[in-house]
Amino acid sequence: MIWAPPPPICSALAASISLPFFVLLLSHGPWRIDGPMSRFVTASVCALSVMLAGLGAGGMGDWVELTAALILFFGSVIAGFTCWSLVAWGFTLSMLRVLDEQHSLGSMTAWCNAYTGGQDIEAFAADRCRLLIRVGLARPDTPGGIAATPFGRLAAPLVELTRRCFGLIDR
Amino acid sequence: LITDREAFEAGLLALAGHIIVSTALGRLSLTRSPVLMHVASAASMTVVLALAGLAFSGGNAQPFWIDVSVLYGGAVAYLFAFSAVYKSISLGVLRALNKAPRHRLELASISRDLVLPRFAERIELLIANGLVLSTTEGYSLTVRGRRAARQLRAVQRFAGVTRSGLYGGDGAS
Repeated sequence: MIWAPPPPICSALAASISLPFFVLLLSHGPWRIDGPMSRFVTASVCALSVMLAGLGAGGMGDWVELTAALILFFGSVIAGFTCWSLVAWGFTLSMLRVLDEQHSLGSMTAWCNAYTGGQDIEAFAADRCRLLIRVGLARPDTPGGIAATPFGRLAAPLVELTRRCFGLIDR
Repeated sequence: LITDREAFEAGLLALAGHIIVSTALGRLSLTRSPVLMHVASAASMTVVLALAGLAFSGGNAQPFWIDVSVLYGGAVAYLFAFSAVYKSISLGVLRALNKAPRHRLELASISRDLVLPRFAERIELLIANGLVLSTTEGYSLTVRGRRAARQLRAVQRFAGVTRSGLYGGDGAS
């Protein structure tokens, strides 16, 4: 078995390892980027530049090595984003943190209000809907309403199908 | 000797095996941690890859990193797709919009029928995991819950995350 990785895989490994360091670098001090999403995207671009520099210096290898290296790197970016989204936006974890800050909460409504910084559950719903609007899956429709865009209507059956494939059935 | 291309194909085969195994496990029982099932399935496929590589190469050198990279990248992408459709509120809203008349819903009904039940579900989960205590006076953290919250705050501080489970940041309206 060849344990030493070929040069393109070395570049992908170096880039993958550098990703959390870039995220941390952009989280504090003069280089801090406020928005969690822009911070992660910038860190990923920095990590990609590490990979490109590695490929430039160490050689691209053949197409098989290069493809495997790209798959490895993008897998690491996805894994990093999954962890990052939990820390930055994780629903259940944020609920836990809010309860810790408030010490105790009298009802679910009070918990919702504390979660949304003094607003109600509709503010939370609007926040989640805004994500759909931002990626073009939905659009605001008449005051207080939201509608699926043609792209959203195309994506929804795909989501349904993926859920079925995973055995996720609504009870 | 196993060539790079054969190793790449072996990685794709192992990925297909992982998808079949983890999906079958998921369909059989979702009461256990689904993420753990994905990780266990990917780890066992890595072992199968390594053993198959040793067997087919007759002990000769073979490219280990190529097949494992393909398996790892694919398995992570597959797990990401699963996580996206598993409990995502946003995608739940999208599915509801698609089923609704004229594909539109009022924000009030989304809050009442989709978001609030999810909120209640998460509270049940926190209680079931022994992190939150529910009494007649409301909700409070258990000792374990306080410890978990402290650890979470430390991780968030380390990552420079100041607040909020809201995508729009503090007090999104």
